[in-house]
Amino acid sequence: MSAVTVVGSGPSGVHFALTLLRRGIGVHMIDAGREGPPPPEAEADFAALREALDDPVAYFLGEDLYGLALPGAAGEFYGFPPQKRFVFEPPPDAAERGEGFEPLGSWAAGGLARAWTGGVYPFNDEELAEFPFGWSDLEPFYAEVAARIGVTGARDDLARFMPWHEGVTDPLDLDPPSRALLTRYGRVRDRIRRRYGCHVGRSRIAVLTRPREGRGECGYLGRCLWGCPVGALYTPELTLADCRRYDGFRYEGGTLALGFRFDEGRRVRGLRVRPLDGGAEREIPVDRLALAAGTLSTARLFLASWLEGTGRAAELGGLMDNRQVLVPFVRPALIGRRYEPRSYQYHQLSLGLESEPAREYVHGQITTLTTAQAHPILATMPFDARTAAFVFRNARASLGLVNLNFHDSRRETCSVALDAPAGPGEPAVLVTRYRPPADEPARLRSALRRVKKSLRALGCVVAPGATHIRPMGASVHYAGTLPMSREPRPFTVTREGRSHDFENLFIVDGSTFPFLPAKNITFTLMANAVRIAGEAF
Amino acid sequence: MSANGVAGAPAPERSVLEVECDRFARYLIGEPPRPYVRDWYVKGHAVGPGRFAPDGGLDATLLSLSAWRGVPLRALDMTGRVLAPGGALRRKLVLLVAILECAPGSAERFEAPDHGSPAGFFLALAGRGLVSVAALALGLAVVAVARLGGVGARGAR
Repeated sequence: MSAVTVVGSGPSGVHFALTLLRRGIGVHMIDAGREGPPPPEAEADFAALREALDDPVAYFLGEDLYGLALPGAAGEFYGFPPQKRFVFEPPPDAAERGEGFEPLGSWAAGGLARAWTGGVYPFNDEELAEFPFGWSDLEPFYAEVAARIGVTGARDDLARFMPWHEGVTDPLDLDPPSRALLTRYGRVRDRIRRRYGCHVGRSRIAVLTRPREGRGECGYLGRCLWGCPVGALYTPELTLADCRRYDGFRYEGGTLALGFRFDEGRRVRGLRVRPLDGGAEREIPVDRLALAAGTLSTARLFLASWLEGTGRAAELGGLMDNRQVLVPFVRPALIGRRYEPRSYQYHQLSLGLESEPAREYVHGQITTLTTAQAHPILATMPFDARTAAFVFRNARASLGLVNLNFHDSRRETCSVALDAPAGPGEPAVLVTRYRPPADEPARLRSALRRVKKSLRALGCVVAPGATHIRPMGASVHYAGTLPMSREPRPFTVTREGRSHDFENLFIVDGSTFPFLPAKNITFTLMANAVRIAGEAF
Repeated sequence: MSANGVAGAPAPERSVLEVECDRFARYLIGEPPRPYVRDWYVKGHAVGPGRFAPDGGLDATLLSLSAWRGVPLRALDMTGRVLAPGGALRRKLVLLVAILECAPGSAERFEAPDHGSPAGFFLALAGRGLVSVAALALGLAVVAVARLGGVGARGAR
């Protein structure tokens, strides 16, 4: 049997590929595959690293001050350090424009998940209602992925929103502020559950608490943001390395897929590619093609191919993303305490808000501030810089952030299209359009009210005006443009990810999701890709 | 002109920036910077000279006044926080904070609490708040006089 051509090495692509390889099916992976620098001083914690490096400013801010966050700078602040810059560095001609949407793309080996925060949250039956399968169909694949990547968590109050599955290991040790918050929750649990429908528990995180297969256990080094030096925090290039151990795996990194060519019978015959940073195009013969480039890059490929093959431009409706709202808080009881730098750096606790209907569940990730750059926070404080530094160092251990995620539904008014090039030699422009649903402001207000009251019951204070509604596109949980459909409609796929438009084309990334719950989708991307590889091949 | 200043504006001379770095560091952490910090402060301006150029007249005035020892830097900083929060003076101070917090020897200034209890902190904060308000009043007065006198009218660093 000839190899399956796979485009993209993100979470969907690598788990799809690994499943095929384990079944004895060859894989030819085409991947932009940018790589970043390896983490230095693997044994050093955050403070020791600062001492050990010859030039710590170059490491933490970048030679060109990429990591410097200045007051008055335009645009959404993401806080990515210089070590993650490669994740978002586009090819020279990747033109895009957002209307009501701020798209982020990746051309890195491992995709956008090279910069994720490790949250793994399975979808439940209510959230899978529009999918052509339910929880019981997907559960074995969640368990399979958990066994591959390592997932920690606890069977606590959040299990009512996130079904339990095999493969979850003991959770991390909590940092002191998170521990204090969870202890307090134990005292007010019944009250905030009854009054606000708010539940708090341990985050489920793709991190190892025991070493295995060449990866170390979490050493609480406080360096997650800059790149885990021991491989405890899972990122997809680890699975890419697993794929590379198979003889049947052929990897072409540094290669950009431009579009596929199909014949009159709508059978894909070839894939046009070129070197990532410019160079001559060539065509790779294709027997079966699987697109796993991530929703926006897959849409770009599909639309470019459609235009070239039919002469007609198309628009893919149904673009979804999680609206995120940031709720910073202070826990006054911890003011004056010294923060613990030897901690897992990302969220260790989560909260869930009951909703009616249940699929409109609101999910929040609670991050307590541990190791981090101070200057972006100081720059926003309403004080002079000296007073801001005073407030920050005394309040540091008491600061935290809830990142609230809201569900999204497919609507034709939210779409991806490819605008014609402005002139000869110019690239086509990927245009993302997004219009929030009419009921969004009311939903956000209601959830915020409940979260703020719950936080108050937990001994936390939210400063007036401190919440921040992030622009659409900021969560980078894109989905929905080539959805699974039981009916053979244009621009949809079967349950097995097979295109209704092209018989030997498979879509295995988030493009196929017909609904987007308020949860990080990466875990489901991986489980669904494993499912497709098993059911369709 | 972008929010970060005039693209392509020339970086000030090294000696001017070193003096500026010394003054700002004494203000922020109470002591002069180490050579490593000073070097990075100068390099930071060379990396993106336009990012630290003044955006307008008020911004230029604040920056010019910051070189005068007779005017407390806190007064100018507080005035900048209120009237020009994204201005050049604030950007330079944030650059220096960013360098100091990465550098061994000064990082601790952004990590170790001064007060062991919330009560001690809030008491100290109230005192600092009063000082900041007084500094703002002084800064506003100084800036108003300086603007009338044309300080910074021909641009600044």
